[in-house]
Amino acid sequence: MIQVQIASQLTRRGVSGLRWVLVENGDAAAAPAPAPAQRLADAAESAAQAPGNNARATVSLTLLRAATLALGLVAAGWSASLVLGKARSTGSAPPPASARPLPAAASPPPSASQTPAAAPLLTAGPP
Amino acid sequence: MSERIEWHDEADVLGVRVRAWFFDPVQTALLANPVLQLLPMLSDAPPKPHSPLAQRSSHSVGCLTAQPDAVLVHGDGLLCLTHKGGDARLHELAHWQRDLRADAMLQAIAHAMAVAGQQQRPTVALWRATNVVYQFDPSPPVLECLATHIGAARHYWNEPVAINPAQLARFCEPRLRALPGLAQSAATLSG
Repeated sequence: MIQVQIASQLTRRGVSGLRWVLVENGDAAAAPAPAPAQRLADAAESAAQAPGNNARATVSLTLLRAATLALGLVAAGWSASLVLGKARSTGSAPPPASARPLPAAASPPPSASQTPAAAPLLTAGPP
Repeated sequence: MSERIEWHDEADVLGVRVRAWFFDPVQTALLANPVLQLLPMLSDAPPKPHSPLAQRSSHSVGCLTAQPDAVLVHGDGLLCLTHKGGDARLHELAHWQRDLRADAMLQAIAHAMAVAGQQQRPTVALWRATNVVYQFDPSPPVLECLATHIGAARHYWNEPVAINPAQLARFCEPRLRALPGLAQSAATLSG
């Protein structure tokens, strides 16, 4: 604040009788009014910095960190199991269902020209 | 010799004690001292220019920046004088309250506030018309209104850095007229 003195009396040789008032400093007055969002952020920050809310905010932050860490570990384990499962399938493990040959029931009915040679033996009954 | 100036008239106008000293403009223009041409009632001890009379120096307090027409050193204090830009009408002794413009009065006080704030010396607000010098003695409510509305006036006029006395005067005049204690003296002013 800047003090301003206005003299109330003018005499032939000087001034007398002071009236004074305070004027806001230029830096503070020139600062633009905060935007609504900034005001909200400031309010939240000031509320978090209040003594009563400080311990509660610390506990919440710790819990949030622990939850994030646990979620990351679970995601990492799931990703690892997927990768290892794929590697096993390409090695000694039996091929997946899509890689196996289709069962006979699923194949189209064979035509007469494609009838295997052993078919008459199967149809011939015992004497 | 008395130190007191024999003012020709004085009255309360819009919360400001206004003192008027009338002179003959033709006779005054013949004076050798340019300071006495501006303020002929101070012939016993003419003030000294704080800066050259032809040069308008800039003074700031807070976000208020003023360039008064003349700043003079008078004893322990300063005289802040505005005289340019006024109309050329002759003010009448019997009707000077009708001739005095409220915005010119408030501008002169705002100029003096800027000078007093920057120089940190007691300052008198003066306004000179063609044939009269007015001295303004603002009451505390008027000073407070002007001082506390600088920031609001800057936002109102959308000025990024600072406002001038004319802008502050135009912003504060309706607020001063609305103050209950000042409404009666405001009725004498045409505005």
